[in-house]
Order: sequence, then C-alpha cells, then structure tokens
Amino acid sequence: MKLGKEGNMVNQEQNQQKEEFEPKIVAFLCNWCSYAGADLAGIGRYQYPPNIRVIRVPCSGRVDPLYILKALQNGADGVLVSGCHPGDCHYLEGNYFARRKFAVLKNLLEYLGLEEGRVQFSWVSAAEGERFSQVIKEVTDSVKKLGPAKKMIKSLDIPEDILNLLTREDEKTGLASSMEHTMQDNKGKK
Amino acid sequence: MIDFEKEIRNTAKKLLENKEVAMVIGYGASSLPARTMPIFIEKPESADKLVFNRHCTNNLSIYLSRLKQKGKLAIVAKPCDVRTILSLIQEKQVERDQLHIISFACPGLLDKDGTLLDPVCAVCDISIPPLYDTLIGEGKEIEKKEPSSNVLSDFESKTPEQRWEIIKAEMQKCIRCYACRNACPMCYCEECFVERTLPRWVGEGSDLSDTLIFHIVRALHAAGRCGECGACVRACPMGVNLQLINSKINKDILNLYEHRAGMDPEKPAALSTFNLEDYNDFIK
Repeated sequence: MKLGKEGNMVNQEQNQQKEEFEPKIVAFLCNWCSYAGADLAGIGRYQYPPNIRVIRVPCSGRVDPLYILKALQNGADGVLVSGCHPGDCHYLEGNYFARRKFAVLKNLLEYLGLEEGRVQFSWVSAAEGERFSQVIKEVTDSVKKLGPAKKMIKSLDIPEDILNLLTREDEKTGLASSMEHTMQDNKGKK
Repeated sequence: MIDFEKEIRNTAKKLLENKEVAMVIGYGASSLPARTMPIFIEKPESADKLVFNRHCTNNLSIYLSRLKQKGKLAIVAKPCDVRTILSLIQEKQVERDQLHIISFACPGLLDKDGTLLDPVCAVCDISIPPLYDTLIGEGKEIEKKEPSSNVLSDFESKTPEQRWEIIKAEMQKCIRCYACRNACPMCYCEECFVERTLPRWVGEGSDLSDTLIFHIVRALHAAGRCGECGACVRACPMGVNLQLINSKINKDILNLYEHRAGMDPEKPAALSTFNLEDYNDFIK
C-alpha cells in the first residue's frame, strides 16, 4: 500500500517503516525443554511471529556469552536464550550455571549502554507449547519496539584511508563488490 | 619503607640458604624512574638485588605456573596479588605446598606524582593478604587513605546513550595488543579465544564491535576470578579504562553471589558454582 497523496507520503512512509520493521531474533533453545516446547507449539497450532531463528543447543548452559555477542555483531536485532525451568535440567544443573552467567552478562550489557531487552532469557518446558508462543510474542514485540540494533553490529564500510591506497578505479570497484558479496545480509543495518 | 625492603631481602636470603625454595620472584631496580622490574633470584648472595618501594606495580603471580618446574618458589606479593595466587591455587595452576608467599601489610602503590595509584589502589580496601607464609609489617600502623570517589557510580548515573558513548571512546583507544590479557594472572589459557581461527571469533581489524567483544568476553572469563590487582589497566599502553568493565562485574558478583575472588580458599569461583535460590527475576 505504497500509493498515496503527495502530502501524506512522508508520514505514511514513516509509519510504514515502523510497521514494516521485522526484527531478526536468534533463539538459542535447549534440546530437552524449550526446543521441544517449540515443537509442541507447532503441533498445538499455536501461532507465533516468524521472527525467530532457532539454534538448537544441548543445554542453556552450553550457550557461551560469546555466542550471544556474535549474534548481535552479525546483525541479530535480539537474542533469546531459553532453557529448562530450574530443577528440570536434563543435565541436572546446567541451567543453574547458565543463570549465573547470564545475570552477569545481561547486567554488563545494559551497563555498557546496550538497550534493555536486546538480550533476553526464558525458561520454557517441553510441555509449555502455548507458553512458548507467548514468550516469542513478547520477545518479538519488545525487540520491535527497540528498533533495529545498531550498536554492536560490525561495520562493513571500507575505511577511507584504505580506499585511498587504491589508485585504480577498477580496484576500488572490485573491492567494493567483493565486500558487498560478503555483507549482503547486513547491508541494510549500517 | 626501608625496613620492608630489608625484611624481604632477609627472608629471601634465609629461604635460599636453607634451600627451602629454588627461586625467589621479586622486584628489582629498574632504569626507569618510579618503576621496578621483576627479578628472579636463585642464589642467596643475590638476594640484595631485591628492592621494595611503592612502585612495585607488577603482579608477579603470572610467572608462577611458568616457573613451577624449578621446584618450590617464593614470591613477593601484594595483598591483591595474593588474591590472584589464591585463585590460581584453587584452579590447580600451582600447588600450595610448592609456594612460599612473602606478603606485607600494603599501604597502596603510588604513581609517578606520588599520589595513590588510580583506579586500583585508590579504591582498594584490602591491606592484609588473605593468605601468606611470611607477613611483613604485621600489626604495624599503616597509613592508608580513604578510598576516593567511586568511578563506577559516576558512570552508572549517566544515561545509557552517554554510557555507550564513553565506552565507545574507550574502546576506540584500544589497539588490540592484548597486553591486558598477557599481564593478567588469571588469563593463562594456552590458546585464547581471540586467536582461534576455526571459527574466527574475533576479527583482527580495529572494528568497534570486535574490540568490544574481546574486552567483554575477557572480562567475563575473569568474572568471579578477578583479584582486582589492576595489572590489566597498568599494562595498557593506550590508557583504556578497563576498570569500568571489571569493577562492574566484580560489583555484580559481590551483590548477587556474595563472592569476592581470592579471599576464601574454601569458596569456589562465583561462576563455577550456584545456589538454587539465585537471582532469577531477569528470566521470563
């Protein structure tokens, strides 16, 4: 619905852009609970937004803070880590260790100035299909409100001083196109 | 200060003469003003080369695991260095009975201008080491200034955007020489994640996100293990204020898990243990 009267264009476009922002959310789901919960949501036909990209991990304790930061660096607008409820861990205590790690990480990221809600955590059991869809809705909504992530993203601009080193035009365009090849996905995010 | 130096020399000489230790790791005179350098003494007659003043900044415990094959080691350590040694013992990097810790009631270090070293000594509240074999200056009155203004609360009172700008400015100073990591006694991994190539976790460029990931992940690796000795801050050639990140983590670990690294040999590092009732409010 892009058509409209000239005068309304700007306003409408702004509105549209806001509406059209669909965040990409990386969801690390533990194999034994949350992944099965996602499965159950599917079987039970519970609807949830298609914004999550699921990565199955053996346990929430397996999720290194580095993975979360890498996801943000490579263009995720949000990261969700979900595991078994405390006491339900398949490995008995993996999620307890995870909880300590994530508390420190989350506090640190917010302290450094990252928006609250970029990185979220949840406990979803294998029996909570409906709850899974609810969690995904909440996470997607809150990340949507934050808008596209800009802070942790790796910049793919070619630094000017490097461009200046290249004298021939074809080198410049060659470098630019090879960079473009690797950055397709992130291009819109700069 | 002179009696500290004399006592350290005497202790070292005695230990070496009695063949109790194979080597004494201590501070020696440096050719630079207001600096000292690490020296390694194996003969009793060389013990007089040891010096002690309020510029003994290095944390010598980084040498322990590298030199442990020499036999029993004696080390001159400030109370904060002792905290890292205690963590190293807990993590089985050195054995307690293969170590003679020479420590002292610490008055705090001074910088070139003679003021208490910022940002570490200025906020330090530990003057007696948690573990030692020889304690110099025990029971003596030590002059100690009140901890100065807290950098952390200044920073925390700012808005997220302001904080991000400050962190960005700090990180852009970093040239990624990894001196902070190399000076850190808790960073003893044979292969650091920044040097992994399959996959390459951290790009080599000067991109802000890569630098930030290096500093955040290094700080998290040291979370609950950091003895707050400040070796990383002092090692930095660019003056990056790493204490901004480290002290936040240390504060959180203390508030959430009532843990301070290297203070109690019985207590494991905060992130390698858990409580059933740990803070859970941030999880949906």
